Amino acid sequence: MAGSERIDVAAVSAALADQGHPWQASENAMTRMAKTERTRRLGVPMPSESERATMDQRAAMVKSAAATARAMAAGAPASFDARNVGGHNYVTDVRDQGNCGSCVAFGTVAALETTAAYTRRQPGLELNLSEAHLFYVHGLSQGATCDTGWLPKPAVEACRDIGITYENYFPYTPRNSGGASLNSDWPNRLARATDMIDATGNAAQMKEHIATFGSITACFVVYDDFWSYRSGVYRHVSGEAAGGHCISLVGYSDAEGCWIAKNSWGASWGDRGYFKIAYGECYIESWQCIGTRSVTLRAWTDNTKILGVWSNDSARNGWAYLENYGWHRLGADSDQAAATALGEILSAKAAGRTVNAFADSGTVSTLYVY
Amino acid sequence: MPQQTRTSRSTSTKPGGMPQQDILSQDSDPVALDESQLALAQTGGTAGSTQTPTMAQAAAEPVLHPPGTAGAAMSASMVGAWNTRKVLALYMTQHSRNGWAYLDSVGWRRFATTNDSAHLALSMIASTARTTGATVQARDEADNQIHEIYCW
Repeated sequence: MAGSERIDVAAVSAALADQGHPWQASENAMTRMAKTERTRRLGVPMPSESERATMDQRAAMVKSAAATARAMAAGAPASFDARNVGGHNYVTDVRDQGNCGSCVAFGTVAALETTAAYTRRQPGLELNLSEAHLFYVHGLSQGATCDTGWLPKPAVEACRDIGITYENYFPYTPRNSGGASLNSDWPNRLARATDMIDATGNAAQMKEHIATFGSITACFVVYDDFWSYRSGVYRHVSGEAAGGHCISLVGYSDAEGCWIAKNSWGASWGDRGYFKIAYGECYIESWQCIGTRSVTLRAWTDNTKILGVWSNDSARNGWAYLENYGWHRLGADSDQAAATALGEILSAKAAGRTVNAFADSGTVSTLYVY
Repeated sequence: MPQQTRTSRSTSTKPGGMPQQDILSQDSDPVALDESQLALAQTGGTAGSTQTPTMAQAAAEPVLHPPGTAGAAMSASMVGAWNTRKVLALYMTQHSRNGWAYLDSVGWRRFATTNDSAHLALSMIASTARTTGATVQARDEADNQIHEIYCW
């Protein structure tokens, strides 16, 4: 299979049969591509020998800790899937990075979007952040291009230190072939990661983070059999290493011994764009596993209903529950401003009218009631 | 807190025309609603449960989620500690921080008197609930004051 153009799926299936069919393979757009085209869908530089040695040490520790890394022991449930928590889906649509090694931007943005929705308990948030801003601006400033790829840690740090705008302020196209540019108003339509964590090499911490905050960004080595993945729990069975890849983990299952990953090769690849990968496989826990505990948003909400109002016995402490956004404090520089904001919110709620609120980090500073 | 005095029954800080007002001893308090007033207040609304006053924990920000939302299921274990009620009547006098709400099956409760801003906010929310018939979840304390209120 090495050196060939198309992936020989029959050969992959035969190798899987020899192993008792641990997972299923099928033809797809990736297997039909030329090798150079396929590898452009990756985007994490392969580690140096010294880095690989460190990853090997971490991988050995993960394996030796496997018994104690079971989620129950770590205070997390035995399974979690952010696509179905009490019947609610907190994961945004699967996207397609195209022929650009921008997987780090997709794996990072996907984790941020899920964390933003899950920590707010807002499956309807439908946040769509700009991979283009992250990769073509922040990545480029650090030397990352479609041909070099990037790493999750500096990507999440950029989301924390600068933030990224929403998709409609810088729409993504592979290699920015669409010629879009960053909207100059981007600081007013911005998401920022806060409280970043590095769980690399710690499977128990990864599980606890995913179960609590919804998602984490991770990397793994793609082998040539992976391109043809269709369903099941992936383990490397055949083929050579093709490169490094970044995805977001949105769940895990101790019963199946696997992570649930959201890929960025479109919804027609794999299991509707997702795949499962076995614990300890292809450095999935031991390369870079970066997460964030919170995502702040600064933007207009557009037409939003008021579902609830709250106050307590503290001064200027009125709150409104905005549909699909959750609780927001009503900012107020004076008692009069607090009363005005609350009055307008209550009038919208009473009349069933929508509001357009400008909120920054959970505080409403400007409000229209229609 | 401003001292509240009562000059006479004719200029009472209590609502007039209510039965049982003579048995109330505190100034600036509302009186209990009789059955006919309760029936009138409940018109168009539904009676709440008959749970005893709340044991909900004080919080600096809201912790419950609106009914029917994804978060509601996650905060369901906390809801039982709250009075889930209708606001059946409102009351105020000209005195500072003297707004009250009558919560179904609970009775009159004064809005927290800690500061003007909070007293006004709590009364505005209760007033909206009274106007729209919305359900509230309120936390009162031993001082018989509402210290926290949700309106759904």
